[in-house]
Amino acid sequence: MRSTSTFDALCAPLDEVVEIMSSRGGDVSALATEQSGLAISVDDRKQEVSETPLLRGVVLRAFDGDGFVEFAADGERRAGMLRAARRLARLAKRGGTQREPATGRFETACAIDPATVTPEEKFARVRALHARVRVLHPKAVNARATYRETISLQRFRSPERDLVQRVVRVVATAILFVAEDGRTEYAYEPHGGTKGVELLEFSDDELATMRDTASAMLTAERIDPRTYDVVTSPEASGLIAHEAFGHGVEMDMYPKERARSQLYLGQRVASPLTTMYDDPSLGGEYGSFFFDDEGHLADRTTIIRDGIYVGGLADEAASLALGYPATPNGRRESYRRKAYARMTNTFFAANGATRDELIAGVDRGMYLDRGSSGMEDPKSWGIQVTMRDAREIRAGRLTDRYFKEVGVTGYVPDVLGSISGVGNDLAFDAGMCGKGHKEFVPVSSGGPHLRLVARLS
Amino acid sequence: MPRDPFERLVTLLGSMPEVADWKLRQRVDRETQLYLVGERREALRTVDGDRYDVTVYVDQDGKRGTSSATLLPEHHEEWADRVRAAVFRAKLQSNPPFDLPGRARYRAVALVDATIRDHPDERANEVAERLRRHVRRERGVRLSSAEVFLTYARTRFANSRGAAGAYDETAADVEFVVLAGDGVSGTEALEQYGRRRVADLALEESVADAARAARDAITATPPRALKAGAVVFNGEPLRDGTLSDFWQPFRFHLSAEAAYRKLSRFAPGRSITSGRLAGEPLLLAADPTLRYGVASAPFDRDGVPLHRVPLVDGGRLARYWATKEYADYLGVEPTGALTNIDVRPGRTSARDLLSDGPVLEVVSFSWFNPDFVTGDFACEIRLGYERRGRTVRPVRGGAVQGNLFAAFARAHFAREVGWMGTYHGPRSIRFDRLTIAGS
Repeated sequence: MRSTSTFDALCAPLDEVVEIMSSRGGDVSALATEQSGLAISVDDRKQEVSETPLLRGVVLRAFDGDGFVEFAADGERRAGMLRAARRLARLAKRGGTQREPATGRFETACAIDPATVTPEEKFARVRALHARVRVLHPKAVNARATYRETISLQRFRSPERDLVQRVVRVVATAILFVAEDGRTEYAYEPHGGTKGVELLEFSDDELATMRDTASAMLTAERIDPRTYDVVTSPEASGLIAHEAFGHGVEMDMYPKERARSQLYLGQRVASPLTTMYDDPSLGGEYGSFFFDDEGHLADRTTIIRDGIYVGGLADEAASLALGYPATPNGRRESYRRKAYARMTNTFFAANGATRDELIAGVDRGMYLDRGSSGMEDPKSWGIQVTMRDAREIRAGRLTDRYFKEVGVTGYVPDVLGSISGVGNDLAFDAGMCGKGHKEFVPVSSGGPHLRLVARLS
Repeated sequence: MPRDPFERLVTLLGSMPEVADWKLRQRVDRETQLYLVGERREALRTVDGDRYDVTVYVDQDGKRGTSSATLLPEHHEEWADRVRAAVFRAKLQSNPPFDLPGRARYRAVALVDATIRDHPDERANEVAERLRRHVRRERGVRLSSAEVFLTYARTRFANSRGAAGAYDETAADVEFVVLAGDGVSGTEALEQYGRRRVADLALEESVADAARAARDAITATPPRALKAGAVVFNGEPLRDGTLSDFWQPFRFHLSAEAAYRKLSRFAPGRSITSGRLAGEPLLLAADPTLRYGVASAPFDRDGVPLHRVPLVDGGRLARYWATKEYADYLGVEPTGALTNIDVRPGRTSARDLLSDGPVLEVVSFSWFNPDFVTGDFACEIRLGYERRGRTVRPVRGGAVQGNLFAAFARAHFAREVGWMGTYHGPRSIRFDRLTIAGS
């Protein structure tokens, strides 16, 4: 596994630190992280090549009988770590989460590992992408190509576990800005995953679709707010999975009485056609890893099976409070922040229909394509998902009438209960997910095309 | 070689012939983080930070390249390599040249709560206890959870043109949720905000607001649909920085950077609204000098001294806010980075804004997040009040749809002002023709 001398130096005292912390028999752990990378942006007016902010530090944790006490620091020296370890040893008690012994070293498999490509070569590839984007449209006022890589090295150490991982994440994006009559619109095409520099490859079809969407946005209308029959793209399906139900099954919300799903474990929450997972062990997706920030090995969690809510996502604090087994979903924004129950790759399972079959089943409705953002409301089970664009469906066919900035709102069981068709395709989109309005972690969401009923505005 | 790591880095940067210019920023911080679930402590964290951000500028063939690197004090053996890597990255770029700001006198701004600096752990526990106490006093609600973050930070800055400065600051950030009604099936209200001083958190008032919102949400139903209704944004929807992105399209289009990239819809002297002005004109200034302002600071990340600067006057663009780089590109004076947004209040009371005709008052969206390029929005109402004469009905669900730049052509501002994140200005703004998606 590729490492760095600075990460190795950061990790060197961890064995001793954990030994001191656990010397009085309490439940303790330590996590060391080094995250570095490169960010490149080229548009018509400006070129930027810089490193992503370096994160290098440790967090030491002890269970003190009531909860967790943690000490975290940037690039801590050995002496500082040992001092903090002695302090935490005095507080540590039994009763924290017990883990089976495990060791392992894991590494993201990339077609082109970013560490094997020079910044010069990456910059040349981004410039080449920008050159392709800037000639796409006669009304373009600017075009942008971006590339961002992060390489995260982590070692989790507890008395029972010694785990090391190297996770590579890359996001590459093409963006086209067009203007007409003083109105500026844009369209974009993103690639993201736990993959390498190969994500900078964009097909001509992808760029042509982006060009056509940008044109459509110049004449797009605002939608007449009401309830519609809808077919969702995999990206839109994923946003609904993530915002509508995923946040609501983050079980750290249960002891806070902030999630209505708590009342529905084992009960129907969606149409029988619906199955939904969270799975950090998927190869190549943006939310993938090998172990979480609390030392739990990546594994699939089934959230909804055939419309029944069967299980949530629990970090260690939630696990302790609820007596529910922890899942590999304890994630931190960085060592500077607390771990919470968080999603990873969250998606609806595919089933049998093609996209065209789903659209053919709609007499008058909307095709929701590119997502923009969303916000959870686990307590009231309301959803807010914003789509960049929607396209009219008439008599089972797509028309050329586009709508922009379309809000999808509704009551979660109504939306999921209305799913009447599930596509046979499956695709994921990368993004950053906040807990409310902070604590951002990399995730993906996805699914197949779905046919359902939703309120659009 | 100087012993002070900051001075050693200055020496290192000055010794590299390829580096035409540089800037160096050190931030040392200590944060106490306290988490409650119900009234019980779930976690207590102490976070120490100490890092240097170095930016190097390299000139080649009349063009300039820029790149940054983060350096940690205990890994000084890698400093030279990391700076050389930044130089290499900077040499890849060929952007138009620009200058760095030179030596300047910086005005002191009040930014420090000495009690956070001196006794952070005690102060965090005290804030948590006050939260518990205020919630207990409120009828029909209980505390779901809370997070208290208290931070003390020191910033030191220098650049190759002689600019140098330092300042201390504190931050008190709280997030809490109160619950009303029956167990998990009840309702909640979230408050999340920050100030410089614990004393400015106004916890009692915030808890009272949250408690009222949680209680009212129990009986709330979707609003009536309207094609062109009057909507008053009150409090949280106007917040800047957390819970709402209301001012983001303005931050973007008011920037010299957006103008330089040909993406700003605003032009000097021209109206910032779409359509004919039929309301009160917007007056908006950048004001980094406000005492204990959340984003107040004596200088920006380049070392540009910060002053109050009018950006929108009489509903027209007065000037762009401009960092030194983009000011040079556009040939205008730099204002420095945009910090606090200060909006001039109107002459009407908040009560009168609500009393004129049927009106929907929104106190909370799920997330008010207009598209920052187009200004379009369609956002779900988390809590509002439908007001018709003397009848007031709590509403939730449904959505408000519109375009922010069109909305400001028909805006009326309350005379009462307050801090909402990094926004300081009218507590309420009324927009006269927005689409309400409802029952």
